[in-house]
Amino acid sequence: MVAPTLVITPAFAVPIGETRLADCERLNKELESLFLARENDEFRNPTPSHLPQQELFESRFNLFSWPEACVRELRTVMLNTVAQVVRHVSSTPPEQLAALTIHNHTWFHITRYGGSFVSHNHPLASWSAVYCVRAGEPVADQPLSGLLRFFDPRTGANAYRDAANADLESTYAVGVRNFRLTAGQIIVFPSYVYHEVAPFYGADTRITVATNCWFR
Amino acid sequence: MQPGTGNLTPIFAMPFASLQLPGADQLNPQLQSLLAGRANAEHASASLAQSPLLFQSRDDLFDWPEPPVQQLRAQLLRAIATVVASCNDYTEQQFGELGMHSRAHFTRVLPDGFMPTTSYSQAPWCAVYCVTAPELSGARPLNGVLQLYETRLANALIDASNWRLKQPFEMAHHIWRPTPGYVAIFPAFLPHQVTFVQGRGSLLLVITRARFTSPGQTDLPPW
Repeated sequence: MVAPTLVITPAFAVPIGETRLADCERLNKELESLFLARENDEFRNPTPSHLPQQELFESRFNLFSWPEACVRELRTVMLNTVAQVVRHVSSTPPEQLAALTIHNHTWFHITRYGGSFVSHNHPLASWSAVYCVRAGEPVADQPLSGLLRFFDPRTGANAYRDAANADLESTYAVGVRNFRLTAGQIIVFPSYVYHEVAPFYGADTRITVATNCWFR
Repeated sequence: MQPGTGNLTPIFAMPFASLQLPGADQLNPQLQSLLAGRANAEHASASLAQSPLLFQSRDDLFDWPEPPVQQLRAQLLRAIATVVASCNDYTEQQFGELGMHSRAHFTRVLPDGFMPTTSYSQAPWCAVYCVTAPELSGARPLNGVLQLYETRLANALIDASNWRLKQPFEMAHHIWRPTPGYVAIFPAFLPHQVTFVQGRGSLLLVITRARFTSPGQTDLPPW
């Protein structure tokens, strides 16, 4: 008797790409200096999609049109990373993908003590990415401080739990995925996925760049 | 709806209820005194999030014999039953024959604290009762509110025709401001959080999970 072959497929998987830019100290220092200098009304997003907080500065969405060298450098890194993720997960032939133009909305956040960003996703984009310029100081007794949290789109899949589904391996696990960003880290994810930034408890600043991309 | 004839129906509606419990003015100070004295390691939950600014108790609160807890238990279960009955097709007699089971814990959020996003397994209904609310301060929007998350993904394609949908069709988070004596009741699978509290005093909540059994049903999953 031949045992049947068992195939298990992650049928509804959500691709989240993660990488870290090497030797990013100089770049991050230049970006931080630039962003802090422009943390003012001239560069503030005039039409935020969510209720603004004093503790979180959100720039206009045209960051990648800035001419500064550090911004141009980051633009190349982030958009290339997004494209790399797309190449990995798309069955569209590489030559067709290479012919596409990546459009983007890109902005920076500066978060101070108590700042957070409510759960949201990004309509009218296919891929989003976050780059960490400065993680902000860790706070020992606030383990969730400043975490980037992705919400499982299979809402309610954990409504019934027993010993056979409570500890599924990572590929199949149901629940929130937390990322504690470090300087130079890039996270790429589908724009439809809801995510939030938990309140930041550091005494310094947490600085990130976010981009939404669509392809034509 | 014009022109022509037809129906406009919210086909996948989500129930959410906000009710005021009677006698809360007398009950809440007793609860506050009792719960504040037990926000300690002995009564802390091992599975729910904790921090110096967030305490969450074990879910055996309704097993406590103290009269204020038992009074709250009776009122909360009555409120939940009323809402659940309103959402169902049972007759009054049929609904009265159902069994009701619950677990409850209390959550205390101090100033600058928050309760991270969560949802609950093993029960279809959740009730969040407010014992005390802080005196809010600052300009922060959504200060110390219960925020229930929109989870539908269809907003990925948004245009001028669907970004301002009105209730009950709107795709947006739902906000409920905890007010002493009031309880919010909603499906337990819905992700929700208590946002960062800016103010003075603590936000003290009793959070209940509830489920029902048919007559004679005994095969309930463990909590």
